[in-house]
Amino acid sequence: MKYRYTITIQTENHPGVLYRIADLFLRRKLNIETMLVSGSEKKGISDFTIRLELEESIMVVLSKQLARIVEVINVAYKADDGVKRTHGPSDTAAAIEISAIKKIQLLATSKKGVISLAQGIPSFQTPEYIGQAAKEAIDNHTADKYTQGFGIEPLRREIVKKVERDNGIQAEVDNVIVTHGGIEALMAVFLGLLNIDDEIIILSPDYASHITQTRIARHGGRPVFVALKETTEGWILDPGKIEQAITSNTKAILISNPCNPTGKVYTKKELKDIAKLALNYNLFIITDEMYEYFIYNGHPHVSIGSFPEVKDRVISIFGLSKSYAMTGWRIGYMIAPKDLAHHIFKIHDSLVTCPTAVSQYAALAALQGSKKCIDHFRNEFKRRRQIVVDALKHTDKMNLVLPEGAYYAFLKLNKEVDDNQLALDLIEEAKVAVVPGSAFGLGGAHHVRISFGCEEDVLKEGMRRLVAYVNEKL
Amino acid sequence: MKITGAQAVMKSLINEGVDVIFGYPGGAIMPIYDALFDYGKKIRHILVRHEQGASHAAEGYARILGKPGVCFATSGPGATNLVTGITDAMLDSVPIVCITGQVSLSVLGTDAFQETDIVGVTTPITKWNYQVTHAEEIPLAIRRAFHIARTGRPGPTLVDITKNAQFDTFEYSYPKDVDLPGYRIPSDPDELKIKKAAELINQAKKPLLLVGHGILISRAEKELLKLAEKAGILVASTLHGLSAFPTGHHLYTGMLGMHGNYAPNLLTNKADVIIAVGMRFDDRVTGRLSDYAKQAKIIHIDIDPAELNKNVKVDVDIVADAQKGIRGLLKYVKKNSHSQWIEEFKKLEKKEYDIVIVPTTHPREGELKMAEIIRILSEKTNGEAVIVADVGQHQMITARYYRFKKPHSFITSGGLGTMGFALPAAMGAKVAAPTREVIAVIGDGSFQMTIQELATIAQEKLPVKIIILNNNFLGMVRQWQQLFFDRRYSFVDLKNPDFIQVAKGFYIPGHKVERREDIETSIDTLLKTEGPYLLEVVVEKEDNVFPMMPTGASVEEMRLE
Repeated sequence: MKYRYTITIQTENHPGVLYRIADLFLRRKLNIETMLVSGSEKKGISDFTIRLELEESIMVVLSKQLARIVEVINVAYKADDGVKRTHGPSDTAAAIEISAIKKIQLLATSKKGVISLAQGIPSFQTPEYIGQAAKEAIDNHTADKYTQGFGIEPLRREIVKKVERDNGIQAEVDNVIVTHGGIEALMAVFLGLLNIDDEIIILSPDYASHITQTRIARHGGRPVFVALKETTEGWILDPGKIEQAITSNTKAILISNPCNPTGKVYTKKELKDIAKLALNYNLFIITDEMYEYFIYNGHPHVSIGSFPEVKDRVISIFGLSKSYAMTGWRIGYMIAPKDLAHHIFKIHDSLVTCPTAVSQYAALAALQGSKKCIDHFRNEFKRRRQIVVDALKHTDKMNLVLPEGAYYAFLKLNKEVDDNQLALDLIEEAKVAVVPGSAFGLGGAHHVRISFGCEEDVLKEGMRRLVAYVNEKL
Repeated sequence: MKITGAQAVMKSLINEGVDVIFGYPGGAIMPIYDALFDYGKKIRHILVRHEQGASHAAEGYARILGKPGVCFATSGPGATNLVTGITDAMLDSVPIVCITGQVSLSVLGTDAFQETDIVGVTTPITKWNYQVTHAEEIPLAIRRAFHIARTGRPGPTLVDITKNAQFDTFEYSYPKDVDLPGYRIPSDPDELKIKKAAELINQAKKPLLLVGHGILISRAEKELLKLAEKAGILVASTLHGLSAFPTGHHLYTGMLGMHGNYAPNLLTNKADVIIAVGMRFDDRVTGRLSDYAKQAKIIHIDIDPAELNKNVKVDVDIVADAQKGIRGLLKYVKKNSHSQWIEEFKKLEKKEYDIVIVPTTHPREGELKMAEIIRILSEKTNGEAVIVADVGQHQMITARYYRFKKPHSFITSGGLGTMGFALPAAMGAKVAAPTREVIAVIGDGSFQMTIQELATIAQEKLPVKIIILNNNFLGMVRQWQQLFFDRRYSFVDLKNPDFIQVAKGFYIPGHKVERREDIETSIDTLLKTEGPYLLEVVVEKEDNVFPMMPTGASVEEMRLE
């Protein structure tokens, strides 16, 4: 079927590129109707916009041939109109995979005697006073009905206080949306922010669900990774690399701080660099700070949302799952610029209507209560981190950049082994479940992630099995 | 220390590990030739007799070693003479790097003496090209030219260097990084797709592997053998895939395409799962697309995403080099065998054997058949020689009847079908593989297109063996005129020179053979003679290549006679 297409091509800005592109049309005797070539906002990059009518089948092949030209960085095309029906799942759903973490977890629970270091669940119970508040809400029937979609007013007020106190973020109630866990907040942000062609830069290795979610939001499109450099000093960010990855389609930069899976905690300087890029290129910053309280190097946690210069372009996402051991309660929240929050809310409303009422009352109690439990969790995790470090002394097959935060250790295998296969072999042969590093995007291959959120004895035995296996097999 | 651009060219080539250059000097490349003069110990320069010869020789060299072949030519006619070889390399994915001289920047674009816009001319036929106008650009341009030529899907690149840039001096350093943001080389194949493909293979009752040049480029012969044997899959090869899989193997069905074998073409429309690896469903292979393999689930592995779903719509498309793709499959493919399917193949094979193969390879009477010559050559060389075929009937006959035992043993011009390819390509192949027997099989028409390279062979003392299959016709065109143009033989009749006298003039020994009883000793003489040798075999004038799939026919409509 013939359609009228708009083709957009990004190229390096060199003499001769126009010729190479035009030649592909000439070879097929295709007459270009209009063509616009312009410099892009990024130095050394040109944007081509070409319009013409042609067969869909030819367009598909032509776009790949265009992409094959050495100087061409990106090709996209869109038909003006036309109806297409398919019987089956959406292309997006078909294209994405179930997260490796869940796959491994499923496999681990289906096999007898497997110890799981895969999923990041803290081993602790939700503190009593939080449950108590929930019980009261049930008994008083205050949690019977839908709440306001944004979340109950007292909880949002409490959140405003908390982010000012702990994160240095100046917010008002209207900036806050309470969500069904951090994951819903992220999905609502991605859907509220990204067009199909928009690119989001993900500093990687990064939480696998971020990657899947951005692909969903972009109708299956690929996220753009900028990998941090793994050194003995830690995971190092090169702002120049981010700048190189920015195109005219770039909409936002996503950071996870502290980072799952690497435990990387961004320094103020690094965050300032990111903020500067966002300002220069007019980008949003999405920051996932789920592990904000779990930092072990003594430095305070810095929230990029606290920088006044980027106040109107940062969306900060927090949650109670990890900090208060409330993974089952499903409560997270975001702080977003007001005019954007208004649009994200529409997505949020479509996804969940409102967060579970009883959980909101529990969350309110949590935030109003003392933070002693968080200190206790942090100290415990720090001890468990040491268990991992001690266990690794018995092997030279894996290296660890000491995680500064979160409760994951991202172990680098000293050989270039297929980490997906290794994770499967570990379940089968060593009876221990870990997550393959490849799930975490660029820079993740040849790593495995373990969570040290679990009980001490489980962790010790899991590490013993892992170390014994790699010592024998790698 | 500052050096000239010309010296920088030489240093950059050394940095890229270049040890052979095929070239021809001229005005605009003289500074580079002057710099080359000092590199006699490190780099062998082979002075061809026409730049087309340089480009094909570079192809022959690259096809054997997998590393780029290098050509030098001057501006204008020197550069345009490379065009045929560059196009040939483009269509057959052969890495060559051409360096051309250009007039000085100050007169560029003014129709100066021997000025041609070679970058413009070669834009559609190179993987990448670049004009250097300042000496400082040289190291990066050459670094990129080699990187792009040899990585991903290989191909030709060209660097055009103006004379002033060759003379100018600068501080030389060789860049580590190629810095090409738009150039992506596929990494590991998508694991999910690999699993899906393996599942299809595991469920298949009639699986068929179609293998192409990609197997040889990625050096995946061992993996291919493993995959075929483990899963019990029949293997069919494209013209360029020949020698990737041993011809004598019990799972090998033969060559695909217009003049390929009967069984593999028919099996294409009977298989339930087709696994195409490192091949591109060229129209010579598929015949009429609307009737091609409609019954089969198709898995296509290729390093070039633009080839996937281009001609044939496939069920699983995997972007990967052949080796990585097959290695991926090997992880999930189960041991299997398909005896009924193999029986089906044997029946078809027998048919071709009886009707075509026996009568043409073992004729008892009549004039000499091309097929019997190749059959004897194959036996005498134990299937271990490097065979370089030109283009035409003799090419198809060579591809059909030489029984390859070793990989990287067949070099020919497939995509472009360049007559005159074999003689220079055989020179390049011999330079690359001095310890292997290199035999060029050439038609009488093709031979006269690059005949002057006999002088290069003689000067360089390259022990290339040449067989001319002489039917005094442009045989392939004549065959088509006979079958499809009502025997109207329009300008295909050749009054040939005395090839033996010609060879003698170039100081190359040779002899002519016309009788069946002299063939074996003649080939013995060819093989035993030290140094180059030319054997002219006079064959049946109107010998035809069968089976054949006429243009526009489907693979099922293969004609055996």
